[in-house]
Amino acid sequence: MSEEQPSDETLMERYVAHGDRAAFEAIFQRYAKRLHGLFMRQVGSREAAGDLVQQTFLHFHRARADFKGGRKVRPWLYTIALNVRREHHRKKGRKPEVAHDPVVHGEPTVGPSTSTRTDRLVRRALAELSEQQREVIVLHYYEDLSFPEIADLLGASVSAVKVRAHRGYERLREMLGDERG
Amino acid sequence: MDETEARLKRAIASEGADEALDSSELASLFSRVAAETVDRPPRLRDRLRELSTPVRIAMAVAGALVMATVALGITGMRADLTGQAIVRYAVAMTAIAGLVGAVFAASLRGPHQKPLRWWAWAMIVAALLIPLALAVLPWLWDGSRGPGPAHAHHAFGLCGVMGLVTGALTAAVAWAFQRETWSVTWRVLAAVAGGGLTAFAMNQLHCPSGDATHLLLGHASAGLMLALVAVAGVLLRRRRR
Repeated sequence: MSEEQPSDETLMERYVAHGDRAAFEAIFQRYAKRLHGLFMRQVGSREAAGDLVQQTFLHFHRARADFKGGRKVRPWLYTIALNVRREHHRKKGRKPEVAHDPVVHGEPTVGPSTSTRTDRLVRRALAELSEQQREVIVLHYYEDLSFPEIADLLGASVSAVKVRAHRGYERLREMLGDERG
Repeated sequence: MDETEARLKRAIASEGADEALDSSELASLFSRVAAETVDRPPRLRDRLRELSTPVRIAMAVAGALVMATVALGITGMRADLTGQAIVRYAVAMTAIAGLVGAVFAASLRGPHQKPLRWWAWAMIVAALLIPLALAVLPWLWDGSRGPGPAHAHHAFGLCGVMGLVTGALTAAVAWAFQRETWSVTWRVLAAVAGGGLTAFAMNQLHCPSGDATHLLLGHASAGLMLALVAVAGVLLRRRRR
């Protein structure tokens, strides 16, 4: 018999209202890996990505009194994560870099089951996009955030986010067409 | 979902898969996070910065009000404010309080909120300079019986000292509520800008001097002086690291 998992919002309610450590840990378990992956694409080091995950959850904990019932946890957490990443880049005094840019860093060693030639081409094409386009595409396709959610956490209009996604997507299609042709 | 979209989704999902955290790394990372959050008994500073953002802003503004009131209790309030002068002062003080609130609100934004835009940073710089601009408007600060006697014999004088103390304490209160989300330089500038405005308002309510040099140095310079000290402190700390 499978027990239904509590939603993020239920866990958050337990954590905020009752200081439930287990609820905090459950939210961490759900998102730490994904956030680590998100940061890995930007900072290029496992340790730095781990530090950013740690900072994200530290701020998440400090800001918990600001979480209003009825809000979604995921975009709220990603807003914190993107602000943490933004501050990291500001401190480093440089623009975000692409950790897995195969052109710069070489192809990652991914086994045949997870990386086909076409997947590698897509990754190479992704690395060619502008930071703004890549950010929107990754948040939409990988993190499954909706365009209004992405617009909210990037501080841009929904139409601007859609334009970035569309242009990025068209650019990817174009590059992939070139590669295959 | 077309072929390109499907491949795109698959590729993004597999990207960095070989570098994903394994369960032991995840457990180790959680123990680091828990040691800083849920497993640590909260200290006073933790309790202050974990309050909700509207409460933190309200308490920082209340702190400024308390500091100005205590300073006025020690130094005494000027006695020449009656009639129209009181209305003029009330308007000016309300505007200053509003600016203190806006500056503190900017510095106390949480990490769950959008980053500040350029105009918020411009407002913080303006808040540092506004006391200097206001100090050269003598008609605004005249009492009902005209410019009061120049009781300030020194350009800086007791007003300058009280302004620095009031400004520094107000900034310290605002600083205590900050969550260390944004740039330390801007956060410290916002805190001292609010402190400088509070010090200026306190001095204008205390001292009837109309001497331009005394107004500029004794009443209006606290924020800027504290900002210079704070920025020097930040740079020194950065160099030591």
